[in-house]
Amino acid sequence: MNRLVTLTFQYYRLLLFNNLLFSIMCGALIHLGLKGSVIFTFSFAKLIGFVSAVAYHYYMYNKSFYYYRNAGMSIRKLYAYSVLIDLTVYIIFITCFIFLSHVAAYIKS
Amino acid sequence: MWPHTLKVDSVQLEFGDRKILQDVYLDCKQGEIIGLLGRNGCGKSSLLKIIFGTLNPSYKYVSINDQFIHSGFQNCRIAYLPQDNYLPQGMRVDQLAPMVVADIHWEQFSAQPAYLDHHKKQTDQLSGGELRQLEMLMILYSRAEFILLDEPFTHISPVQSDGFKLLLREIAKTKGIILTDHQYDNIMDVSDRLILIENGCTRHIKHADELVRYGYLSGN
Repeated sequence: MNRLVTLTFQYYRLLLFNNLLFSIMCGALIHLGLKGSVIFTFSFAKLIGFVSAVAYHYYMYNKSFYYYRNAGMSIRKLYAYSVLIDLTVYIIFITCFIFLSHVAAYIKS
Repeated sequence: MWPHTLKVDSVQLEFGDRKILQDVYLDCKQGEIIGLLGRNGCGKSSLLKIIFGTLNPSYKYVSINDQFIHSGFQNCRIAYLPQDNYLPQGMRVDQLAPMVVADIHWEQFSAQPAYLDHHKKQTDQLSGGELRQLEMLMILYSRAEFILLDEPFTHISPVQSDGFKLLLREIAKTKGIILTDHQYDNIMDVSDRLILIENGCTRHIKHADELVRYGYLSGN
């Protein structure tokens, strides 16, 4: 179990920079183009950002998957647990965002 | 029940119309080293990937103690050293090694000079040879009962090769090892048995002369 958690966080850490970069880029494009709701923009950008980061990592560093396999971890599990971590981080972030928006609106009013 | 036996049979692999492997049989017991030889493109690396479970052929039968195993990497029964570097970049050696190295082998692994000298470094701060040595050691000291090594002698110096051969003999006391490399003299030195892949089939070599007869060595 310990190994599983450590390996998942190791993999998630490797994705983090590209995940943030792609999410911000995608978010900015949607915001400029669609002017939709902030939550929709965040959610869609988050999804595209994560998928792009995984795809980029797979394309650039596919040999490194032998590290995870030699550690006894299947790639499907690695993806599934990374999505879970990403989703958890996102839900915490979006909850804080909504809460702070309400606080800001309340203070303004 | 020691020793366990890894058996590989009836592997069929094609890329398009080209048949790569068609009549393959090999077995390896814990305690022995099998040397796999063959020309470029004959399917040596593919065969190792098939055994490990990362390449799916049209048909295969891989078993340990006559129990079919779909993927060797599941439950860490088989470990595989690929031709290219496999450790993720941008991470420290001492963060990566404990994930692959078995707890019971940690003391021996962490006493290796390659680990002692570089464990605080990130993988991208190491030279090709240093990284290769560490990657090899991590696989050898892993939890796996069987080890597959694809070109382990490439990128390491002759002195390191000699040390590595001694280590292989030591590790082979408890594990089964299948290795392939173009440095056939190193393979012949360290192996208990030799298998040649020729025209997609495995030939069990009893005498070095057969390597000339099958056209693997020139005989000069």
